[in-house]
Amino acid sequence: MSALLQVEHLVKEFPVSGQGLRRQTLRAVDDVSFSVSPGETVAVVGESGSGKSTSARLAVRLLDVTSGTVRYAGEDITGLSGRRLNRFRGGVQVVFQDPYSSLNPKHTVHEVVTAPLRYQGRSPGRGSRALVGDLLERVGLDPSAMDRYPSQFSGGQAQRIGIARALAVDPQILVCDEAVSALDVSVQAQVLTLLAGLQQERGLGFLFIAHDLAVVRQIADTVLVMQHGKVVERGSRDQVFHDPQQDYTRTLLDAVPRINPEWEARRRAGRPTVSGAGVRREPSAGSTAELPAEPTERTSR
Amino acid sequence: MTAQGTHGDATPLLRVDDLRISVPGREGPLEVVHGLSFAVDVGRTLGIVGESGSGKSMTSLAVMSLLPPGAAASGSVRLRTQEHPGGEELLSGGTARLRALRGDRMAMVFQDPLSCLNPYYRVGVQIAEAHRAHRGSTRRQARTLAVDVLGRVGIPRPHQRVDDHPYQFSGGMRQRIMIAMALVCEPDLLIADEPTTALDVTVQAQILALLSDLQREFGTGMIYITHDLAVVSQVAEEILVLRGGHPVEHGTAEQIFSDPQQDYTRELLDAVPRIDDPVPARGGTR
Repeated sequence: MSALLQVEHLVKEFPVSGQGLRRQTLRAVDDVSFSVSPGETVAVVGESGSGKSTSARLAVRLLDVTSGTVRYAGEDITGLSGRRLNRFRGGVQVVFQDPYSSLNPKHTVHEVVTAPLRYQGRSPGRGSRALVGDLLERVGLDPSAMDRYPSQFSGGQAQRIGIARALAVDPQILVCDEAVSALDVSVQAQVLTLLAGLQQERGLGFLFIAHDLAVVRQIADTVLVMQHGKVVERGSRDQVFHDPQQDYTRTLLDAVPRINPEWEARRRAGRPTVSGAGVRREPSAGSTAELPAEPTERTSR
Repeated sequence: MTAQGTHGDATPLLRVDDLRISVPGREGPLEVVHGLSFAVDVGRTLGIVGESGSGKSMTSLAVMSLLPPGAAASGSVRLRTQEHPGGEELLSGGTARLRALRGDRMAMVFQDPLSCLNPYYRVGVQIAEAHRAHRGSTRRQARTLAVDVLGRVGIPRPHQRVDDHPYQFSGGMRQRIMIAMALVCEPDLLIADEPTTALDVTVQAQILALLSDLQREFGTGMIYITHDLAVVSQVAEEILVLRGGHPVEHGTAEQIFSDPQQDYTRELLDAVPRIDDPVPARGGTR
């Protein structure tokens, strides 16, 4: 019920040009507040440059705030360093967008997954192989993966390794910064299912940063819409998606590409097309006949 | 080519038959595209969809004869040109002829505009480059043309922006510049490989509208390559679904989306998150 991770009035300015009194700054994050409770998914959406990723980085102390506070379990962690900051990192972990660039290519999966424990000064010790094997199984990978290197995995598998690493310290909050954006839709669906399962199983709180509104709609409880560093709209998922109050939110929602609803309805009803049921070899004039006779049998690859 | 029976139809703008592509592998050539056939007509759009590794980008590079060194294509890629109304074979085309066609009769828009634009040159110079090379226009003519094309792809104040460098434009604007570069010679065939994947949705909507306007204006035949089924449903009349270099399903957009025949197509469609679908209530919070 009570918020575990709470940020208030976050501001982040970056120097743009000039020095001394002529210094120009860009306010990338401007008075952003939100909180994440256990078992809750808070999504921050917005376009590039809206400040959503910067907000997430401030909330996990990967960046230092210009002003504002970050609280974790009631403790102000805005200015923490050293061991106490490490303890905070044991509670809050991040899954990044690009699994390949966020996993050390020269480390085995075992080393990658246990790295957060080493930073915490918690030696996994003898049981480490069992622990890593268990974590890999939990994210749907074979434990034998632990002796291989990140480059030997597909994007979806590598992202699972990133999730296993985030889970190694048994965090309460998982921050997903565009964690499924680079994945193919089928893999994306699998990873989202995995995340939802982990949330149910362990009561994880999610801070989910994404530009893909359709994905957010599937998983979020609360949605914040950001534009130019500010939160322009916030509300429950259904409020924001069904009854947006701001023009900008409406613009964003309207711009999402949609499949013709009539086609969708027909597909779901399982009815054949009006024109030539089952005939799938004459797409348009000029491209007839030369299709391979049986694309069908190749699908079993 | 008169011998090629097209069942009474006029020769399509582009006809690809049994295209196979192999790349160097550890144990000799490795085939990654296994016999694709399709055609594109004037003013029509073929969408090629598939997940990573499906061969969609290799296919587009093969059509442009831009495969990376070591990769080889077999089969037939025939483009209808003024000189060859029955279509000329590109796979066996000479370098000089291919150069003459690329950028002039056929052009390509890539996913990442920043890596395709030269940071040192003004955008106007880069846009007009193809026109100067292919049509021998003077510097002044080329500049006038660049301003014109920039305006047409929706860049505000084109007569000023023509002298700016790529870094002075946003991602969406850069993609417009890429489209301007591709369209400067009014090509017959445009291949767009994930042209909006890196863009925000609002910008994506603008670029898609722009492409369809330009297509209507010039009658360009287009191949639109993407992993995004919702996008392709909006831009393409005809769709080819690929998986692992194999054609899975080929039909009109309506057929593919309303009555998919293959399990893989159905799985793909099922996996697409939709913005309007009913979703289960989120009651799980404590």
